Amino acid sequence: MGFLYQAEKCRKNCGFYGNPAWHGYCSRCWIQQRQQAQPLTDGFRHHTGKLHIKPDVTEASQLLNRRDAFQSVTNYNVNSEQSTASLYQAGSVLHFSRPCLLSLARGDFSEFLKALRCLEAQPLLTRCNNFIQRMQEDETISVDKKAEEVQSFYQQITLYYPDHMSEERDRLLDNIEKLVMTRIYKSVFCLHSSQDEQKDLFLHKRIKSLSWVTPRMLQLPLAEGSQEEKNGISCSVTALIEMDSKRAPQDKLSCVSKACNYLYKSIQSCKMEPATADDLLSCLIYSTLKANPPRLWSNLEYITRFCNPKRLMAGECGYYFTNLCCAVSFIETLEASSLGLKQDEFKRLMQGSEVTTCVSGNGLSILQQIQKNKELLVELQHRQDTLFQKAKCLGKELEAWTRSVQVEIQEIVSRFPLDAKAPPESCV
Amino acid sequence: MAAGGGGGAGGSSSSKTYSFKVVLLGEGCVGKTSLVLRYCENKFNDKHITTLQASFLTKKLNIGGKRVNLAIWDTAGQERFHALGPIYYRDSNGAILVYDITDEDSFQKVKNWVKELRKMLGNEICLCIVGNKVDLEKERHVSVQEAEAYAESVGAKHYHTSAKQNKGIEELFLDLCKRMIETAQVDERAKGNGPSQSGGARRGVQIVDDEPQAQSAGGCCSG
Repeated sequence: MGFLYQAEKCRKNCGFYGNPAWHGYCSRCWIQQRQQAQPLTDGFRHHTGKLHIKPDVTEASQLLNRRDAFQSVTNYNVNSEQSTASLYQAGSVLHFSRPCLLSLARGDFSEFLKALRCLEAQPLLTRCNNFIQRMQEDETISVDKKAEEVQSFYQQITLYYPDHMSEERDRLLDNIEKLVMTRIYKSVFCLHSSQDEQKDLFLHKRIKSLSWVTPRMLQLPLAEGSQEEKNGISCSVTALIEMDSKRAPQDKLSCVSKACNYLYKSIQSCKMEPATADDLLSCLIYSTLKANPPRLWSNLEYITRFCNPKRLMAGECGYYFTNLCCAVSFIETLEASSLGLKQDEFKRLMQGSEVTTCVSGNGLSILQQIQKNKELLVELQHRQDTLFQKAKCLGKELEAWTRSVQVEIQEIVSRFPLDAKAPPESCV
Repeated sequence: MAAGGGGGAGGSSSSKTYSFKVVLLGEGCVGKTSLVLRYCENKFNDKHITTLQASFLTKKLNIGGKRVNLAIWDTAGQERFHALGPIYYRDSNGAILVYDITDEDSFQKVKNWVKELRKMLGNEICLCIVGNKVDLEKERHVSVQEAEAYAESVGAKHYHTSAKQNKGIEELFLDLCKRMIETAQVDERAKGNGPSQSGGARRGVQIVDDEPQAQSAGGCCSG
């Protein structure tokens, strides 16, 4: 017991001085500890939640100021508490033991949720819940501001892991992203107050008006009418449409990746060569035109705002997402020359499609069919008319012929009157 | 983008893994695809068939103890997609501009790309100008002096490669990685020296982080 009466640091080793009145914690860790013990009834909950969210830098600078204030001599026995104290790694952010970090970073989302409920991960869960609640309830914050906050929240999560555990860190971040975004989805996605809805409508109309674009105009690397083309395009169309039904940015992204992978497969089997960026992009443009995915603009905006930036900037999903952005940008700005058409031809097609926009999709081909049928009918009628005329002519000719035959017969009869009775008598 | 500096943002310890995004620019038939396939999978032409795609490839490197994850992004090079360039090369750390030494036009295209890249991304990005197909030296239409002088004038490095004969490609990527690491380190230092208060705070945190780092050393030895 020679250590008595010695200034002692907080049990969490956070850098502040502890106080025996707070069981050897500093005030801040003590509040945290109490909150952990009874998270729901604690009146400090909201307050401390906000404290946690403060970025690291300010906390550390506070540390410098507060050190003097806590220079009181404290009495605290290290040995008896060592085992529990070692549970907490030092640092001003939340710290967890290695097994806890590992269990949180398991790939499966449901396992992550289980790990999050364990005692040691409580502070993290509380922090997430507080954050989610604030994002859901505060309607005064704009979506962009919320995006900023979500991003800085991700940044803080990454601080739990040392550099050599970067893989685990990425996985935890994925899980956190899914947890947070699934729950705040409704309060940030395609809000009425934002311009997103109008842009969605604009893009939707634009794609509709381009329904006449053919694979040949886009120079798709797929053999026209082949099975690969049909399969690849229809699978990727389904995947693109599916994107709107997912909530977490990573799930939306994986729909985009799925779409691209279907396209890759059909390109490769048509060309017998690996697909290049030009191949992929032109196919993706065509699929997007065919799919006309619901709320496309909102989805793109949402992913850029709330996705883990690392995934979006450099990862494979990021590449596919970039291609989708390129496809949309191409569709928005597309002109006659980008499809290899002449100006007037392009105009005519655009106007033609405006009339038919209400039919959409297969409407164009149906209309073409109707037009063709009409032409056929007109021709048929014409042929029928001539047939009738010819038949009439024939009828007249026939009448004339019978008449002429009768006239001839009468003539002959009058020329050679038959005296049938006399000769037989003479003969006999 | 709320969180800036996603790509090559670096920590301070040497165990840090660098992630770099490199875009591949160039006209249709200059051999971009062959170049990158040769580098990442050591394949050329007939063996291509087994690979599904050559538009997004990755490679892991270890340069002087520094781990580097390289993501190579092919970009659509056709004229009709020209306007989409900025979407592709946003936040990239390096760019490889490929031309065909037998095709003067493809070299002009490279010049256009360089102008655009410098305009959009400034000097942050490491540029490599690559004359491909040196196996066709006899049909050369772009002179070595001209190309090298041009590269120097825009602060880029010039390389000669042949994807067919597997010449110069390893050197190209290795050199590029080294330059990107340098740029990232300069960036880090600039950030560290920025506001003096936060610098001090960071040092404070690092002292506390001692223990996990000891664990990292153990992990490295066993692995």
